[in-house]
Amino acid sequence: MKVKILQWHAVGSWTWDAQDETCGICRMAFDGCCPDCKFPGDDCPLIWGVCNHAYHLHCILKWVNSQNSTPHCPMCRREWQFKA
Amino acid sequence: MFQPPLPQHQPSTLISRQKERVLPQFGMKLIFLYVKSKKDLLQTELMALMMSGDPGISAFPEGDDIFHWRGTINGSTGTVYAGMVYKLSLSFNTDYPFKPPKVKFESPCFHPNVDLHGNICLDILQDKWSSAYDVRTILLSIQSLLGEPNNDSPLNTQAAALWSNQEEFRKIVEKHYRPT
Amino acid sequence: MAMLCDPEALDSLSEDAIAGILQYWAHFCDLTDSLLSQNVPSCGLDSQLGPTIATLCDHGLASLLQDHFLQSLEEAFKKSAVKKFWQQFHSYCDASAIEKANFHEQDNWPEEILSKSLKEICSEKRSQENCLLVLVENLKSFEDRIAKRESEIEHPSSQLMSRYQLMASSVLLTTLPWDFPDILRIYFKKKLEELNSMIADGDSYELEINIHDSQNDADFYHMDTSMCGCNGLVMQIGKVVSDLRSLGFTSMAEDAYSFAIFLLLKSKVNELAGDDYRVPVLWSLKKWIRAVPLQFLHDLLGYLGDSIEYEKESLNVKSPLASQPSSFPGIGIPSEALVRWQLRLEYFAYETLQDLRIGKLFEIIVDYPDSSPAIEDLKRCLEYTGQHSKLVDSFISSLKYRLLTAGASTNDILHQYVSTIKALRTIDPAGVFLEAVGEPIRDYLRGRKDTIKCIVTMLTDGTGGNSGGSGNAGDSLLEELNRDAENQDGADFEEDGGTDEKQAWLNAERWEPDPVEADPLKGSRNRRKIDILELMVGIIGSKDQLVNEYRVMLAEKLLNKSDYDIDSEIRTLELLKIHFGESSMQKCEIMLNDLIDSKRTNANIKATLGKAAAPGSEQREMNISLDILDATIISSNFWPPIQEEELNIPSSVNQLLSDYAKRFHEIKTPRKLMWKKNLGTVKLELQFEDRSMRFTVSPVHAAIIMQFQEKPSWSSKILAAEIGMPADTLNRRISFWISKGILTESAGREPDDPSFTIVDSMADLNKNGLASEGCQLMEEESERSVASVEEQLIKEMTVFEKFIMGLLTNYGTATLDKIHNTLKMFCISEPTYDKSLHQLQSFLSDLISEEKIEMRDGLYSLKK
Repeated sequence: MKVKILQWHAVGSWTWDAQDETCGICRMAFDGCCPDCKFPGDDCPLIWGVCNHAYHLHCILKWVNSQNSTPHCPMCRREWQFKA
Repeated sequence: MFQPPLPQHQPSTLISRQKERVLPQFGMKLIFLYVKSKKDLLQTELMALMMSGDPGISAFPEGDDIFHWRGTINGSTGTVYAGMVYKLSLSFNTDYPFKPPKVKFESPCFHPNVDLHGNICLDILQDKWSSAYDVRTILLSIQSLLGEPNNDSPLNTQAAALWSNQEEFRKIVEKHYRPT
Repeated sequence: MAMLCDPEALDSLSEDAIAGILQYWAHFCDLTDSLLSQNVPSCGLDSQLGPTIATLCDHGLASLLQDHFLQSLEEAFKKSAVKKFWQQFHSYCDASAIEKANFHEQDNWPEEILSKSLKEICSEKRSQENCLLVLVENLKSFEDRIAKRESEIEHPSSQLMSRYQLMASSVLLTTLPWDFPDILRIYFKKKLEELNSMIADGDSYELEINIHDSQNDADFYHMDTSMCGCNGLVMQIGKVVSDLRSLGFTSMAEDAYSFAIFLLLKSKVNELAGDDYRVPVLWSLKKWIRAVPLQFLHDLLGYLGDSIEYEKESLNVKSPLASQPSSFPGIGIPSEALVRWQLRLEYFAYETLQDLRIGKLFEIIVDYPDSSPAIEDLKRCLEYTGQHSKLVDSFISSLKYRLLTAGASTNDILHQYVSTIKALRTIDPAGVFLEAVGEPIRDYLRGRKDTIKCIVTMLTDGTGGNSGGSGNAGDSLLEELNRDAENQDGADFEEDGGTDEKQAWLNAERWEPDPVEADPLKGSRNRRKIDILELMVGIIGSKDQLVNEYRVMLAEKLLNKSDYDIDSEIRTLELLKIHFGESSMQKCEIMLNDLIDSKRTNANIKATLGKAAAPGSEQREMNISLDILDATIISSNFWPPIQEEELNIPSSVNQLLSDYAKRFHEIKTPRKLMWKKNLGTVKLELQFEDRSMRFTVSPVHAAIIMQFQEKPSWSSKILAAEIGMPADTLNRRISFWISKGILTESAGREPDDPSFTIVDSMADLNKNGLASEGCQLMEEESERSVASVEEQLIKEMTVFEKFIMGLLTNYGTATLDKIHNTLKMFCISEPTYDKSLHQLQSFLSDLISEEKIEMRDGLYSLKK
């Protein structure tokens, strides 16, 4: 007997593969989305700082904009710079 | 200058607790957090705090207003505040977590960094605020502040001066204490 | 004058005078006897009677002689006529029940005997009356003479006739056999049946039903004064009635024909209504009432001379059924009696039909909406009789007896509930009775575990029933509800646009106050719309539970799709959003969005990866290329808990999966794709030497069967290790292939380690009695991909406990209400607090018994 596969419809889940599971700013899961977004994933991307801490892009932008002085990473207080 | 340890970014308590709640047969971790507004953010924090089960700290929204919470802190053992239970109030603004909440002692607390009105001098509640702090870490910070005051910039100079004499200090703490 | 009526005056008379009087008296008695013995009074007697009477009256014996005369009449009447009359019926009255039944069957019984004996007794009575008239005449002439002398005089003779009538009927009534009223009833029953069949044969009154519009009530009375061939029959009956009346049986006769009319009406209702609920019967019933019993009564009363009363008041006695005053062309204006009859008959018909329909309401609702004519009829009947409570009581008891039993499936109960809602909505737009009827159904359903699941299936799944509904086959209930709502909106709009004065007037006329049973808190009937969906949610308790169940079912459905076709799911979601709000459906929306994204990503990955694959690569040799692979990539945070199982996918497929995941990472950096290898669907073809078979199976089944390519026979343990799953799980899952006749199971070397062998040829397969089919669908045997709602519910209480403890820590104390309201306020996502006050109370009691909290004076606090 031989088995011929006609179609294999697989199921998988995506993940941002961040070290942590939740955003340090909005407390939401990275694989969820920030409070302002409706859909996760492409619509609500993650961004890493040079310090290797990740946030929802929308969250860190709000944090950076809320700071009067030089913005720092909410996690490690190092100066915040987007990782290229 | 006192600076509490920043939250070590271990998987947050919320997540780990939720993991425990999942029945063993589902190996997968499940987090259903869909949040749309600041209100939902505080709701999420409340859930996280309720599920964290940290001893000696607790908080709950006041009345029907999610932006105003009542907090409870037990003095840690091995400090002059051991056995004392202090009430606090926490007021959140709409810009939370980008700005810190206003936190005050509601019960009288004799402490170098707490004034007679209950105002607290704690840097993370002022210029050292980080959006990574939450209610839980704030309460833990205040709990550790009780045992480790910052005597360099006291709000209560009498307390700061007396701190070195722990026995005497304990007496005054007891004198000021109003059990709830 | 005093002498005339005072026998004491005799005392003052001489003996001679008395003897003379006695002589006269004896003569009078003789004359009376001979008068009564004759059939026709002769002139000779008359001439002798006059002076005798005058003389006796002169002596004041007028009343005495009247009494004597009447007494003689009574004796004669009793002795001959009455005795003879009753004798006619002796044979029936003395008969046993069985013999009586024989009488009933005789065609001309009791008609013949009744009319004959009535004729006899009446003629006897008439001749007695004539005799009496002789006396009356003589008394009158005497009285007239007196009257000339005295101005004020009463005529005792004038009362004689009525005294006689009274005497005659009391004689008859005191000797009345018990069965006589029955005989009359049977007589009228037979006659009316005869009349009914004559009218039914002759007159095509039923044909006019369709021609006449129900609005046009005036035309409806198409009665003729001459009732074609029926007139003779009515005259016969009329004769009997008038004979009975003359014997003083007026009310007995009326009772009897009323009884017969109602009996006939009842059987007519039964005949028309029957067990067919698809035709309206009320209109034909009303038509029949006018054509038969009312026409009969009209003719009868006309014959008896009763009905020609042109009373103006009768115009005001309006039938509540007819919008205009009923008019009877035969008479012009209906007599009051006839209008009363009409009201009685119609009420009776409505009540009978109503009782009949209520008794069968369960079946009617099963047939709904085919049975809507019956429902419409019932509605009208109830509007008239106002006996809604009868409906409620009867229907509830039939529900309990027939539906709310262990034997009925939850689906059936739900469908009957929905039909009940729809049907009762017609009868009772305010929903008052529905409330009462629905309660036991809802209570019962709440006790069933699969209720939520069935409700969600019924709402969202087009295959879930709705047979014969107003909608298209295959429509979900939700679809139907939505269409109804749209139609409703459309109708409302039209009404608004087209309101003219007449319409406004009609609306105003149609206004009715709320039924007294209505709860005033629930608003007026106009604002209260019966929302089926709301009632469904009412069974479950909260919309969140319904939404959650839907999400689990949706996940199950989506994860088992082998394509990305989600049109119907999107449609359903849109409908659910309308009812439950967008935010409640957010997760479901993300799930559907994942399918849409997956389709796009899948196409993208396959396009770019196909190009990259070098020709003649390993995959091509293995006869599988990327073409066969599709993937659904989910945002797992928004899906219900997923069941994960360890599984080793065949290496060729595994290679494809990792290529695919690698490509995903390249396209979506830094996102990664994590496979849930046990999930999904596989379409495969098993190729044997002599045949090939196609299956759609789960990856587990595919992995199992693919192992048999290399080795035709496997021991359970070795195969389990190869596939990477526990042996007992393998043994359970492999039964799918055994049931298909592809594998056989045989005892292995060790007792708990059976071995499985491929059934390689057609001959072997046929031995197993299984026909080969081109394509077979995956059986429901497959395990669920998603954790069920019940499993999720178990976790909730722990969360609520933590909230309660946190609340009490910071508040010190709190009342039950406070805790309830606070949980409702703040425990709103994952899990949502949706318990009742009562549920919370029992939960708190549990916490008290666990010594976690305590309660004093209604205040809960932490246990110190």
